Amino acid sequence: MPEPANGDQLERLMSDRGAQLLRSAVLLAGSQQDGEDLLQAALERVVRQRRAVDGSLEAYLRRTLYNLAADGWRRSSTWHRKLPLVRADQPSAAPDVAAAVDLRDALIGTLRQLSPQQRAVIVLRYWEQFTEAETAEVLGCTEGTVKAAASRGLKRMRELAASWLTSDAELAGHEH
Amino acid sequence: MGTSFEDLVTDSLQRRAAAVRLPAELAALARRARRQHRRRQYVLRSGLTAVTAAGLALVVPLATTAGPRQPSSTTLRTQTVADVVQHAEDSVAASGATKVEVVHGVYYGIGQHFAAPGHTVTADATTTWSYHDSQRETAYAANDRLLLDEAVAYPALSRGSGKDAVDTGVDYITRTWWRASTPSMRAVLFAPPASCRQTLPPAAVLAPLFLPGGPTSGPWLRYYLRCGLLRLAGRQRVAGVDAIKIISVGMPTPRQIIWVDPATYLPVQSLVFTTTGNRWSVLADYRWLLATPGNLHQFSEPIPAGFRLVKFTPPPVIQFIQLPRRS
Repeated sequence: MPEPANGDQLERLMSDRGAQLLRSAVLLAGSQQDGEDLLQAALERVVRQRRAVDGSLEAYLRRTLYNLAADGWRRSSTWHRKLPLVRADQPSAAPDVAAAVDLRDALIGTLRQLSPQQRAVIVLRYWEQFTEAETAEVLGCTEGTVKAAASRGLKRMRELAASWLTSDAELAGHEH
Repeated sequence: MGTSFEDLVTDSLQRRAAAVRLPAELAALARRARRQHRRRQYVLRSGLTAVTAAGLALVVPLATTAGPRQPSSTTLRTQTVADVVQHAEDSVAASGATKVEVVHGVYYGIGQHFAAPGHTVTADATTTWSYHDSQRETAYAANDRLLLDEAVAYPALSRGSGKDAVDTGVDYITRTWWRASTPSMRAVLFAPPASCRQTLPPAAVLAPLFLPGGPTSGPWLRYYLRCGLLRLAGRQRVAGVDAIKIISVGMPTPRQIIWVDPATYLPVQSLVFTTTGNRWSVLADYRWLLATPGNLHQFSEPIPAGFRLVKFTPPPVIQFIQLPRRS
């Protein structure tokens, strides 16, 4: 198998921008280990398809990362470990003295209960701060799809969070 | 951006992202990807069965991604698996009297099989609450739909009274419920073998990891320890804890990993997985809650209005079946 002509580019890219990409991957995958696996999978795909790269290598790697995540990158290997769902919608998840749940951790937990596409959209919109148009471009879908996925994803997260706190005011009150 | 809830989402993502461990050299990820690519090509050319990248990720020591939360090597050297397991056993035993154990298990490629009136229920995930002689197990489909809710009180386990357990179940598929007396045999059925050479029954290899931990984890951990089937494998951050990782060695598939909280020595998470044949895995997440009235209330399962009472006595055996691999 021939090596990519500019394999060093990928290493340089990872040195310069790897931290941000890894953070995105962890948010998309739900855990450090799964995030590293996801980024690794994206890198491998880029290595395989280097000849197809046209334009920015970073943009291509980012698109690959998000598309792998949005497609449920491990759909075909369900035997692999995944973090368990945080059953935030169960009464048992209600915080108490013994199990004080940090609200933000819990909210990140609800992210794992979204569909892969919704999760990718939420991370792009609220972590990368991409616009709907930019998000649509990365994921290769329409702005309408992004809008709907973001709306449904946030609605679901809000529903799940409602089992701990009952209003946005309360949510806001826990920010500090 | 937008409402306070959206702001909270952004803030949560930023904080989680800030907590991501960064490998010492990120470029190494790119090199590893190239090596992995070459290895895969070699395997494909050689006509060998490829081990997937995901499979490798399970067994690659965490040292390859060393970060600030890695413990000192001195700490690890002075800790033996026997120490850790003994501490864990003691902690589980001590917690059994004061804490409610909650185990959430997620099944991939395998399902937990429940007997229900007139049919069987196959769950993709279960949550089990255990406290003293009480247990409640809820079974879910892959889409999180609640399928079955079963509570069992085991008077015979701790008191040796020989009384039957009382099993109350709610079947959300047929909209029925039952209450029955059943011999409390689960703990006996899942006792570890007396000899290290004895072959484990297929279901039993899963027993110590996500069934109610109090009565079973200790004996099983002792069994693995006695038979030299466990070793320490550094630390790994799971479920927000910089946990001690214990892995099974010298065992045929399925393999097992247990993560223990170094502060409490209570299990945080466990994983059973196969690496050959029909692949499946079971990941269990442990929580230990104080026995507050609210938590103890979890053992009183609600009977939904409109559900029909039926006569049914479930067999006292938990079963697992292999599911077709989903694509």
